[in-house]
Amino acid sequence: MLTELMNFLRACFRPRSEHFVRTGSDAGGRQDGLLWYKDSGQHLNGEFSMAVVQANNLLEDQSQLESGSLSLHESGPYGTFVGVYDGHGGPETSRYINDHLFHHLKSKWILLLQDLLLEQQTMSIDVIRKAFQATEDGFLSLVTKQWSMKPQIAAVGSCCLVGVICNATLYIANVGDSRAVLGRVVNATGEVLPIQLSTEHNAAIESVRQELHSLHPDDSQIVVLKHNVWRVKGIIQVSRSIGDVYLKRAEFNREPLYAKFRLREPMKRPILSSEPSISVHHLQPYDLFVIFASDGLWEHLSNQEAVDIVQNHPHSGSARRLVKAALQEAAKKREMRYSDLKKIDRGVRRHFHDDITVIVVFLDSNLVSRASSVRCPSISVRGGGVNLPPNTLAPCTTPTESGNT
Amino acid sequence: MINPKRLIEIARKWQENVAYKRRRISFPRARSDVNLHYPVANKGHFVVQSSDHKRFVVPLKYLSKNLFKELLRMSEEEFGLPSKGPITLPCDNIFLEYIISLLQGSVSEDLEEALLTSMTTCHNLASSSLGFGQSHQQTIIYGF
Repeated sequence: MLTELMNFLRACFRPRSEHFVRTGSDAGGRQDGLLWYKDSGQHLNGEFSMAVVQANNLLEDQSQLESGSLSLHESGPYGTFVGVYDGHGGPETSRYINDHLFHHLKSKWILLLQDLLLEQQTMSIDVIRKAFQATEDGFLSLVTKQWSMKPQIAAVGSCCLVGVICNATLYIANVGDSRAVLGRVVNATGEVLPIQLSTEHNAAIESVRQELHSLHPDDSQIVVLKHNVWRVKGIIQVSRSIGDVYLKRAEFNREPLYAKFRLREPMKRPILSSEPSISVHHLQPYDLFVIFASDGLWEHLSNQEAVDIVQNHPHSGSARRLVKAALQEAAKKREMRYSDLKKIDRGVRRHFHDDITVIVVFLDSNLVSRASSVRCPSISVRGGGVNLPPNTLAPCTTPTESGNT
Repeated sequence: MINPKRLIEIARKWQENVAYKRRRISFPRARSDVNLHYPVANKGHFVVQSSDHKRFVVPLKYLSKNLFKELLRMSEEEFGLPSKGPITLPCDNIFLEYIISLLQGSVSEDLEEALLTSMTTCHNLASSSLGFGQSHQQTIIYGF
């Protein structure tokens, strides 16, 4: 009788706990409380290191590293794709980008490779821009579909930082305030200089406010300083994003959306844009690594501090080391111990720091200069903690989106 | 449920109580001998400040109390999430001392519950009408 009962209980618990363990260590990453990390891996152009620490009740940061064919063809071109997606208002947009942007990039590349009128570089910039646009359009149709059932999805959005390394060229595309910083060694001294590659769209930056004023000359309240923070329409800090359709389409800026998201006067034109700032860099042997991170890292570490931490330690564990340095700084600001900060639960933790995602991509000059036609095994890693479906408050339910962990 | 006016009355009584207690539990600055620029709370504690910039050192376990979570939620709504310095709660030092005295467990659960339910509806009233007795001295409470 007792044995039967024990067997029954075992049968009940086994599948769930196995699923949980498998999800926690997906793609070689490890979970330690709210910290997820993959200390070391190999991409087409060198090593990489990833780490994510969760602060929000539902992790809003999403990220991925893909290495292999950058088109839908097995024949390439080959390269490395890095994405950091810092969501706000919920995890829906950043998850959507994580599931769709890379595929859009691959399919646009195919289309343009067939168009021989364009030269390689122009092609790539255009491919990235089109992939962003397709992702924005895709999310808009998702909101349109879900609006009547779940109107708050109109107020969910995400920053989107992408890096593509192909043919010894690094493309950086960004909307929002995540940041990519290149570590470049100065030959004479061996010192490493930080070179910021991404353009940010946060209203804290004066040029961003100027851009907003020039786009909305009739609206003196387009950016507002509130409790020492600049916000577009007094609502949001970033001026460009994926999603946030309530600030792009008038038809979603109405009831039943929460009043705090609704504009007082009718929207004449989109307030936020999804147009990425794209830059191109021809990689040189003295370019050692690129740090991609959400603003959760950069609010605690300067570009110089971050490249110094990477340069002065072994490659393995670089991302986790950066996250730790940021958390130590966060603890200092809150006048508490780092060991105590780590004990704080997700949700409440957001009052101490933001979700932080870091991907360090090391550039091995021998591999970087290799032709993009050289085949390699493909790698796909998603960064992140235990992902719960939206609207779930239970801490230990089985994750539904296994691809997201 | 207690109506907000009645609640304010109770709050005032408690403030008198707390004001008396404060003379015994306040001291100028925690660990000022260690580091003036970056004081660090004792193990298991963190720092919050009232809207009139008084620092309070409180135990981590408060973060799991509903009353405190509600204050954090209100703080986010009022001030946004802080990028520098300790968390600022949307109430003055006297009200915050009162809340802390509740969380120290010396008050009935009923009152705590009543306060929690009323706080969401009348926190503006509470924080403004309870905003007397301001001073700029540092108040540190170790709420064990």
